[in-house]
Amino acid sequence: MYYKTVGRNFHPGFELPIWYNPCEEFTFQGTDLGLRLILIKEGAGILNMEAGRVPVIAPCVLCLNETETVKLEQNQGLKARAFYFHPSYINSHFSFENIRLDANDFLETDRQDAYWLRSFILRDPKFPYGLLEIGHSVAERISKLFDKLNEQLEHQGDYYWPCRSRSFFLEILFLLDRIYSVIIADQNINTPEAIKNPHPIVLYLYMNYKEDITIAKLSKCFRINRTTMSKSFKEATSSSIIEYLIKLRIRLACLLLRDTTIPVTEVAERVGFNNLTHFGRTFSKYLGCSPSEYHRKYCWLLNKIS
Amino acid sequence: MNRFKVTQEYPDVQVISQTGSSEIFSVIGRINERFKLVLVEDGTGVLNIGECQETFIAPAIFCFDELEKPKLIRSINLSVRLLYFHPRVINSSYSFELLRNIDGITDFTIRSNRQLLRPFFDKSPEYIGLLNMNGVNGKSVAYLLNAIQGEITNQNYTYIRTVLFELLILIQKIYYEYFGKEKINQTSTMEQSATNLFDGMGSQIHDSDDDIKEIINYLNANFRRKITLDELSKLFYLNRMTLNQRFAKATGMSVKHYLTKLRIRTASFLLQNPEFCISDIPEHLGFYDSAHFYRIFRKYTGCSPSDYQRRYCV
Repeated sequence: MYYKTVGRNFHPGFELPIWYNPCEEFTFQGTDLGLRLILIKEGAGILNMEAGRVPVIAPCVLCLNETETVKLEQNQGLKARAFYFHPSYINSHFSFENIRLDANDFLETDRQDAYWLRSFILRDPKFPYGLLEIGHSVAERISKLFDKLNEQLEHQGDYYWPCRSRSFFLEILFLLDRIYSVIIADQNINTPEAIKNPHPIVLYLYMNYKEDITIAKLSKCFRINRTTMSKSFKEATSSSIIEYLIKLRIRLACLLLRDTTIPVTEVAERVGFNNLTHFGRTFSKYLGCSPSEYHRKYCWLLNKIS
Repeated sequence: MNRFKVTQEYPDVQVISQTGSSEIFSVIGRINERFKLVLVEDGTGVLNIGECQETFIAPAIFCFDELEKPKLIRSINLSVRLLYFHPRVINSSYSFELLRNIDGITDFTIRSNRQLLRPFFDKSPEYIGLLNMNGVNGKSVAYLLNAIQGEITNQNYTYIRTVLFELLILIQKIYYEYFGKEKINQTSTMEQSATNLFDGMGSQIHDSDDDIKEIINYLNANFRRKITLDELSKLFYLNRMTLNQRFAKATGMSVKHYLTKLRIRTASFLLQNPEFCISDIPEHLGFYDSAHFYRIFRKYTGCSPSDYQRRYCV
């Protein structure tokens, strides 16, 4: 039994294989959840998945398949909503098996439709968890599309509600696919590294990366001796605290450069660099190009505006 | 993987934008077995489609099926682009016959993708293929056409198809905005009043009054500056009274009313852009002063220009 929405006035009894969960708390488990598109709108947390423990911060999207389970291990005001769906919602020929096989009896267009689900199915070192970190403007657009899609499922205002819901869903998939293709084309920097145990400082860094963070301040704040703190953090994450913080800041800077047209100086400030030269140098060290080069190359808003 | 190969006279997806605008319309009638989309980027014109004659102003799009042979009667400063495609790009099992008759087919994918193609083949006296749009949508259509055109040389067909889907979804939205009003139950009153601004504009002129068509063309091209009845009367050698009467008979409204609608409609499109400065509108669009513009705008849309911009751009 998979989750679905049942038709009422229009197409009574018709079962559309998609279901809206307005408040995703990662408590549902099992393989009958199907594919899940989860939008994390607020807060931060640490998720435990087969591929590893991964810290997440809003806004981001999780594209999960039926074999993956997620547990929320640490929660800092995390708010998420989700659509659960069966691949046949995208194409009635699809099953969980054949979308992975590139089945022989697929039509050309089936094969192309299956491509839209790759962020749910394909897993590799560059994309191990199905996690897509997104900018606020993209999150806003996806959030609006969530509302429109849900409105169709809930109100079923006319004969075309199933088709219309699907076209909103496709719009979300296209948006995510664009971000996915940048992430897999890019350096590994865009994938958060798994951590061995849910160290409290990891989440603290995620929540406070904009602030001026120093080892001394952290040690005071968590009331741990500096050496013990650094040692336990390194055990949990395999990086030093400062290295981890810098990587996080650079990753979030990439996101702003990719999904917004915010000027570089402001990007630096927003992710917690107060020295622009230092930001530029650190950025090129990790990405091999300057922030503005990265912006020109990957910002998909640029083409749309000009 | 031969789905998109040039096996027939025409490839399955193609975008044309270099040729002269009037040529593009004449090409359409010669391309068989393809749906066609024309984006009017600039200018205005009159088009013959079957029995109907249609006046159009940029930004707008036309959707044609595989059989229609539109004829451009006249045009001013026209700039258009053409996209044509075979529906099998959307779903391998589509033929023109299947799209027109899907009785007995229950497959959800076949039925819901067909919905996206309806603006091309499902015509009626109310909808003959012309969709007026706001400037933002016009830019989005142009952007998507660019994206398709850019990838045709790279032969990245999976991507082209995705962009084509995006384009069809956008067109479907515009289509429902103007022709599916009764079907969407949650349209706000503001959107409805903006939609009503289209009534009687760009739609068929019932009377075949050539002088009046000429005048409408002139108004569509020049409404951005002040136009007086005297000016029209001199230009078209018609007495003021006769002119107004014949205009009303053909369009259902006076010249002044038509001009005002045209200006308010354009203003409402401009205001859908959050960065557009309201105080620029009066002089851009031939209003006497801003007080005049505010008063008229409120009268036609039911809200002030700034409310309109705020509500649209949230």
